[in-house]
Amino acid sequence: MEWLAQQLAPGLIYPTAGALLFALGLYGLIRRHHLVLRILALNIMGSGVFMVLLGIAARGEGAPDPVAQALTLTGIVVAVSATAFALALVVRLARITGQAMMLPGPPDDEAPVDDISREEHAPSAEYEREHRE
Amino acid sequence: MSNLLLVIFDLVLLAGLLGVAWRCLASTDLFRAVVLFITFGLLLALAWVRLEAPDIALAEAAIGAGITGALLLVTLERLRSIAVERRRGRPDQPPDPAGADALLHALHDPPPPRRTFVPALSFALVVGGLMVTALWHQPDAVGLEPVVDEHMGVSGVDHPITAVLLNFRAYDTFLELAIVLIALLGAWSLGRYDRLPARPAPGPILPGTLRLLVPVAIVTGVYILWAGSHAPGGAFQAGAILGAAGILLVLARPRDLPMAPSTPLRLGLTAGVGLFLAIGIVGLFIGPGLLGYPPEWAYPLIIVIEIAATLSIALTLVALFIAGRPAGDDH
Amino acid sequence: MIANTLTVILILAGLVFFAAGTAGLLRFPDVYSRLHALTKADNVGLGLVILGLMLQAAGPADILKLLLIWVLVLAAGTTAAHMVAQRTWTHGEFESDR
Repeated sequence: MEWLAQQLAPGLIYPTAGALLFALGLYGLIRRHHLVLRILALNIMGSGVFMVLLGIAARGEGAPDPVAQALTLTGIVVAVSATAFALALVVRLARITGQAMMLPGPPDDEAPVDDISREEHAPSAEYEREHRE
Repeated sequence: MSNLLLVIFDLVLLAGLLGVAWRCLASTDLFRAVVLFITFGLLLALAWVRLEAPDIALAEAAIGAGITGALLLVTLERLRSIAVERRRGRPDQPPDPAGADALLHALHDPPPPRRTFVPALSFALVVGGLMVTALWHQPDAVGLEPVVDEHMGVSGVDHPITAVLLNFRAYDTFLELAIVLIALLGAWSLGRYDRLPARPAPGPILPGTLRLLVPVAIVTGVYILWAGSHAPGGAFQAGAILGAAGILLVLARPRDLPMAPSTPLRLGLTAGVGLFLAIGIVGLFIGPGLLGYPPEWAYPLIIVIEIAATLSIALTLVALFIAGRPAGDDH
Repeated sequence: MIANTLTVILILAGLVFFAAGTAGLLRFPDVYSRLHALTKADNVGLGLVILGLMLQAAGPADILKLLLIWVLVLAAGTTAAHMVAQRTWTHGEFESDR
């Protein structure tokens, strides 16, 4: 039992969970198309990085490493600023194109922007039934 | 025994975090995703407490969960009103023929196409696996705790994290304040302030609660700022609390929002960076170097910088929530 | 010793209320009954937990801070519940009803 508790010390499992959160965020970032969801995925990746930093800082016997903690505090404030700016960009994009989606591939000069994304991302009939009225 | 209980707590907490993050990213309804993300932030604050990082927990609860959540929710509301506007058409613009889909597209993300599943999963697994392997084989380092501890005497404060933020690594903090300001300038460059999507006034309950909450938030913010010199707290957490109070005020009266006069607003927004830089440059000429302070002056200088930074952060967060530069100052 | 036992009892009782409130949130059929379960049970649950923690506090300052937390959560929770309920009343329960 002691051995197990040692293997599961916070200094080890929190960084591992942080790496998993990072991978999860990366997966979401690649797969989802709505830009707000992508911003959420980026934030989750960032939280994973913070967890790795703080988990490593908490290793060892004494007080945790204050430099890593200060760095994370800085990171959180930078993350919220970047998120706010990104959200402002999304709203601007939606105002211009009517979409808040990532367009697949470079937009074709011939086709209007709206058509490209609708063709590629038309929700399945089943999904439409579920969510419309 | 207590060790085992803590391990169980850790495992439950981490499983909860991963589960909530997964549900959030797998959600087709954006509102649900945002609510789950706020939950994720609150659970994260618990994890930071467990990792003996109360400063980060305070910041996460106020900024990561609170203010990011408010920003996300107001963005969804803006997207919704844009979609409604496009569907109905505007006086100068006919209704969008494809607009029927717009509302659906604005707040829902259809499940992703199946063909991206395998590549995305394998890429994420490889990256995550590499990270985990690297972390498990990392040698145990002592970290910088002893070094910081040794120099606490000259830092001017008694709380190691405040000492690192505003003295030992003042450079990072200065640039951070600059990034916050640049983010706001970026948001302002995208357009002018337009009204928050209008809502029916929700009766006397919200204003009444605000009359109770906002003064308490101001006192708490100032207390946290002052506590930062010897205990968890400091400019960022205080700025976040005051900013949250400001956002609540904005939310409670979206129609007749008094616009701050331009010059004082801009002075307030830049006070943190400006004062930090001014004091840093003085340090360059009188001896200790750029962004350094003489030890005997460190405490008062840190407090002055922190007060200015708190003001700037609070104002910037409210301005980022409103988004768009103040109306009526185009010249 | 007595204080410790009382703390454990109070916090466990608080957790029972939290569990009941959460069960209500998950199982009740509509927004109003969910809010009803959540706000009532959680306010009492938090009160019991705070009472238990007060017995462990170092001094009067800590006790007052804990009390302040409870009062603030009560105020914020009440307002939030009221706003959710009012919005549901005016806009309908589902997104598509708007």
